[in-house]
Amino acid sequence: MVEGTRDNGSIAPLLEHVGPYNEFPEEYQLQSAIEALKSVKVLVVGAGGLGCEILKNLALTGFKNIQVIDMDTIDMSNLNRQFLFRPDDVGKSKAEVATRFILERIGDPTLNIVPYYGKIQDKDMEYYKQFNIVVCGLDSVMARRWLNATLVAIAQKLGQVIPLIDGGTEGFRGQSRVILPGFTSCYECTLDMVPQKVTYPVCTIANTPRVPEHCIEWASVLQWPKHFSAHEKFDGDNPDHVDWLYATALSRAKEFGIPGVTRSLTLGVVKNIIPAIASTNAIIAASCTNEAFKIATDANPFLNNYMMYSGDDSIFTYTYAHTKNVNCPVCGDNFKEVKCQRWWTLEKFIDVLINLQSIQLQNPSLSTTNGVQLYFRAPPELEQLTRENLSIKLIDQINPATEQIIVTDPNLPISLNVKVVFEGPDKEPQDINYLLRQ
Amino acid sequence: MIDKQTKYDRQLRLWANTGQDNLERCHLCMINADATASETLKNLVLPGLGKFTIVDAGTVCPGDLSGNFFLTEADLGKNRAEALTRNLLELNPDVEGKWVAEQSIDSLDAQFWDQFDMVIISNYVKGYDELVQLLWRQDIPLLVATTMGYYGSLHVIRSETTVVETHHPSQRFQLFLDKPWPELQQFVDSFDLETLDETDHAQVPYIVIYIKLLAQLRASNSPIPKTYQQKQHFKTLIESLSRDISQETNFIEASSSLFRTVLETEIPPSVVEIMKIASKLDLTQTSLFWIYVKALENFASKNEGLLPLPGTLPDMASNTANYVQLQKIYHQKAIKDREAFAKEVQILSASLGREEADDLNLDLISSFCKNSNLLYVSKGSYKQVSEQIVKDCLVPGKYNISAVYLSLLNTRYYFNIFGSLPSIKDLESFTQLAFDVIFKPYMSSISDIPESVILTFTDVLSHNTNSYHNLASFIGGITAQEVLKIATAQYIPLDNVFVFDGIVSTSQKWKIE
Ligand SMILES: [Zn+2]
Repeated sequence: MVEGTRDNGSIAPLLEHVGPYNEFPEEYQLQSAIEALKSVKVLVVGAGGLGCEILKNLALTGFKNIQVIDMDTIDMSNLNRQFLFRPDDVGKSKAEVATRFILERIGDPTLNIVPYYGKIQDKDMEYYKQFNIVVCGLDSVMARRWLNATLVAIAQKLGQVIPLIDGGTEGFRGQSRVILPGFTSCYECTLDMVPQKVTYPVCTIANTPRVPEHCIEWASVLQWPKHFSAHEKFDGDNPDHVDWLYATALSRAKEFGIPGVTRSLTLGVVKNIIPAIASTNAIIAASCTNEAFKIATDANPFLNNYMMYSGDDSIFTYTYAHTKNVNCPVCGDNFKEVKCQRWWTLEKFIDVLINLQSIQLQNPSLSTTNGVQLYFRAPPELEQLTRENLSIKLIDQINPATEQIIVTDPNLPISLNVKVVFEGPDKEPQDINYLLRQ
Repeated sequence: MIDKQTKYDRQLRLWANTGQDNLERCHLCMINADATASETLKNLVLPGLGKFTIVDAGTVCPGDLSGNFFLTEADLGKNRAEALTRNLLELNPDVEGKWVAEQSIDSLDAQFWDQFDMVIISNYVKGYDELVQLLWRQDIPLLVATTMGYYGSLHVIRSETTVVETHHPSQRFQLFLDKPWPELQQFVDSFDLETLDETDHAQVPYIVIYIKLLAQLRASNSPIPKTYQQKQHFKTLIESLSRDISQETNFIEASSSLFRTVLETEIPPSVVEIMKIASKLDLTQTSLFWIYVKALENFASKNEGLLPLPGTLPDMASNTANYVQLQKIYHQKAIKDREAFAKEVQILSASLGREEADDLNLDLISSFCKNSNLLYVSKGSYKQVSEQIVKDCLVPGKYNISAVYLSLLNTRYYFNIFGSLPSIKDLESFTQLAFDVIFKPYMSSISDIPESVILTFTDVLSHNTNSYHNLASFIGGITAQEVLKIATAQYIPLDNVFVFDGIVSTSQKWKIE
């Protein structure tokens, strides 16, 4: 089994002996397991904290055909965990530097890794269908939803089931899961388990700040657009921008006597920073690639289908089969019920949709099942044409008994059917307290 | 020069500079330079562990490269510890690393171990039992990490674990609502809910609402709400004070937050237990933690049985002025309590004739006061197996994860006797050994070992590799997390055995007493 300098000694016993827990021992064959590791094409999505680990693990457990996608470049704050990068690599493509490092370190001429420095959305179904396994170590919810929907579409349209192994971490905690598109619950099914970014009511930020976060949001949400032109977007990686924001938040805090605004907290709030350490990434990535190894070799059953891990209070794992959500817009019957106050305008309704935990969109466009365009973000002509609908009450634009709303978003290759349930008063309550609560 | 605050930003959000300083002071010893050791150390060098020393006499051979990312072709023929040290140091210039090529750990004298804050054994080593005893006597925490096929385990052997900054995920707030001190009571009395105008009425912080209602309860000799029913009743009281409970944000919050805020102020039972332990100790011989616990008890006895006020407030609907004023009142009381607690420490420390500069360290005192209701203590053991684990294993069924732990443990026994890892050919002698050293007290004959246990033995011996990288990396990650918790003295460590089964991806833990 020797090939290259690194032999297969570390995995040979796992392949040579069928274990007692193999579910189909009579079908298992050593030769096909070895062949599988050589021929299986694995796509690694993300070359960050999890991605570096995933690439290393795959390369050291016999996989030979790997591609890796990442749109990011290396940042100084990556170096405490992304062990394939050095200070000199800051600013370079993560996918490219990671690939080069692994190939050099492993020194195996039969190991083939192809990096792609760009977005997952740059590639189409044609590209994704060439893979046998996708291992995903992304921190972006939107990108994972896109990838998940693409793989479910490949299963539905082409009948080709590509297992998606997904990992995520936060601090001492994380989770890994195996998604068999069409068979198990998918990423979208569990969207309501994704922790949401904390948001603060604009009214509090503007009028009654109490905690340092309110002052920081005041600086970033209300003051930045006032002081800089529309095309100068705030960039959390630009130290001048961060300094301005920090100083602005600090002076606001001083004015109101609120302690606790620091530069670190400012960065954390505006960049929505999630704590990350190498060890948690190692645990979750290893769990993901262990599943990839079992799936590729058929040597043992694989995870069904979700493992939660927590290391901050002793060590705790919870493994269970997450069930499919029948209303899942990606793998289910694509249907959501949303409550709407009778007095809400279309604009208010869209705002609520964007922030709904089970929907979470960024730039939705809306039309009715009867073909009426309610609001479209693009192209500009259509946007202009539908813009006036925004200020009209939704209840005056659709008939909830006969129509549903179709929601699309450029970030997602899916559309979502929303049934609107109207409730509440016809007129907007004029009470100050009611407004405070919104 | 790279700015540490930037490089370590993502971890400082977990353990702050105090945790980082502790980590940078830590000197760790790793026995063996195998895949699990490499992965563990990688996860510790990256966040800036102070110093490590690897002990391994072996020479890098082609087989070592198979599952180990931190040994390369260029290292072939060199000492394994030396090669691993060099390749790891490349990850972080802030870390210091040394290596020792000692044939056997028996030949290292007792003083050698004194320099370490922690020792890790990766997989198997000759002289294991003696080392466990020695480190136990010297009070140096030992972590034993094992990987075998799809299985792995971690055993933390440490006589005593005490944690102040537990980061306990409890969502409860210590607000002393039932024990308002004069300044707080005065603030509460300054609100007349009857006469406030619409806007001000909706800006009264819920703390004020609670304290007013609790005073009403006290006046009618009703207890602070504890049961679900009492809390529901309290809820209706809150709502009756509101002018419009569908509109007033502060009353809505008061009603929804009451379950985690309206609590009887008392010393939690876990802290009472810790105080009991402290009262039995000879304080001239203990760590500072126990001095603080004793001082805490003295503080409580002079303060109506209360612990120091942590002083942190949750955000709540209010205008800025009311909230900031309230925050000041809580902050000042917390400082007052902290000073009174420091006084107790000083008195106690003097009475014990201690002359330790750290006793009155403001950061330590502050941290202890803030966390005094969440303290954690555990007593360890150097034993490797408990009755519970064996009994779990004997429960009839197709599969039992405790058999995984016993398989890994028996592999260690086997290695101690035969000096090599068992393979599937050794199933019979392996089972005999397990019967002799583990199962004998629980059954009359070797044939009583359940079939499920034999199956797990078969799996372990069939898959007898301890460098399958996925498991080495998983256990390396777990081990590093535990080292980080012990080194930073934050979060709650494993107590004390953990097992992972990578076939079904589940885990289990036990406490060996
Ligand atoms: Zn789904």
